[in-house]
Amino acid sequence: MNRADAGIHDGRKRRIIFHIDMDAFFASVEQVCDPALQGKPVMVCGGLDKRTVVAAAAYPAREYGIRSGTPLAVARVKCPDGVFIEGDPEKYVYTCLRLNMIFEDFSPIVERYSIDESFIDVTDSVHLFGGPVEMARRIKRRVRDELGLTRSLGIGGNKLLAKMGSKLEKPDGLTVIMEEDVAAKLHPLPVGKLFGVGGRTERKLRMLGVETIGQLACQSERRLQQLFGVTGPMLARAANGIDDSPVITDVEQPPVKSVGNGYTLNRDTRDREVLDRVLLALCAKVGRRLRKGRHAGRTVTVKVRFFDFTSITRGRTEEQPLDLDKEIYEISRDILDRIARRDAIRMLGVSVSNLIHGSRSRQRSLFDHVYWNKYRKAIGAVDSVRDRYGERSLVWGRLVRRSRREATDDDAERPKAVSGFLYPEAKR
Amino acid sequence: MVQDVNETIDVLSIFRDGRIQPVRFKWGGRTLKVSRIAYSWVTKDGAHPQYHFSLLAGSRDVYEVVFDTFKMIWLLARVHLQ
Repeated sequence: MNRADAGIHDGRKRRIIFHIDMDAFFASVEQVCDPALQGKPVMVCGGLDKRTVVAAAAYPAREYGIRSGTPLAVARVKCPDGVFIEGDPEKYVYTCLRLNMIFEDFSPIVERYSIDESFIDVTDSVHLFGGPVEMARRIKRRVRDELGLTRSLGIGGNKLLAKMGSKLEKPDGLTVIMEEDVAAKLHPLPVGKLFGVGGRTERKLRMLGVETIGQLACQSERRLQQLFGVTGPMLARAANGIDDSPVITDVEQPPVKSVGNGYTLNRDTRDREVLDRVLLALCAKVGRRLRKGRHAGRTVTVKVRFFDFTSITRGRTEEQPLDLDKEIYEISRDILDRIARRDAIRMLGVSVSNLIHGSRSRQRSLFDHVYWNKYRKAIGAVDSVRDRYGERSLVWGRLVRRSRREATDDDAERPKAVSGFLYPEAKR
Repeated sequence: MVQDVNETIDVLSIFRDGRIQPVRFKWGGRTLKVSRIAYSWVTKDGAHPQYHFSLLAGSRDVYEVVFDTFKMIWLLARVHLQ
């Protein structure tokens, strides 16, 4: 029995946290669906004819230097024989739910950290499964047997160590880093490998002569605070393997702070008609999500990225919270009007923040309340229809293709990514 | 090559213990025997679940079929002919 299996540290019960990181998640799911893709450089993207990025690259594709976030055009050049697959988000969400159901059979304290990463606090259930390592093996086995997927699993005395552990050995790894292993396993690693150290922080640390996590651990919190502000002491604690953050289950998650959607156009455009349509689709999506979550927000923000990748973000705060598509759209359009720069636009984003939860938009003025009350009732009816018959059952008229010809000419600007507004063709 | 199909098809399937198991299906004038269900997943279109299956049939060909519980039809969504 190793130290992790003993479950006792300095005479007190130690926390035992698992971090599970699915290996090349989306690509792995596609390889399970189509076994002929096993061993091939599979890359899952947002769309195959779009200016999108690689969302997940299988390990053979990584040998060509392709990572998540590599632009599709670059990936096609680097790996001409790659297998490019348009992603199916619903399939991956379903798989994520199945994974977490498996994890919940081992402990009720599961945090869905992202679609392909979860933390499990097994402190109080580990004794039921023969210790942490045996428990981890059982989880890996069930995931493989039931879903056909591989995953890397880190065992640690806290979330940080568990997460660092799952990154150390990939794919299909199992690594234990308890507090007493920090000096041997963590400190020799390059500082950029420390969870929470991004590219900019890494460059700054290297300029200061800090190359390894161990060297960072030797820095005083005071000095790091002077250099990095509030994150400085956190870096020092992380480098020493200290992390007291709890594993947060779904019901304990803090309320969302904002709801937003963005879309990269297939080609840069100044065409206001096209931009307005994309804006409407985004606002409709945001409004629907707000109402589904019973949120309403006072601040509407529009983000515009131009052809040269420079961005402008502008917001406006209203007195009353909003959750209706049209309200959000009118404000977004007004914000877009006020952005003086008229260069071709690459990407548009809309978000609503300053949220009030369990709320809905309120009367905006004394004079138009009859109109807005009627509008709210109509949108309520639309939501009910969509709840029952799907998001595509009712869409804004402006978002419906009028003809196949229009679909050909203009399809690029019709944001398929704004799922739920997939623009069925109108019948003539 | 992956080919989008989106055609309604006839599927012979077993409904047992709350699970659906496609066994054979007709497409392109042929009856294909399912050799393995590689993967299955569920999505929702409104309140109605849709059951997706990635099926191996023929030599090494992969067929994605969907059981739409609202329309009560089977759909061949796409095929990957090896």
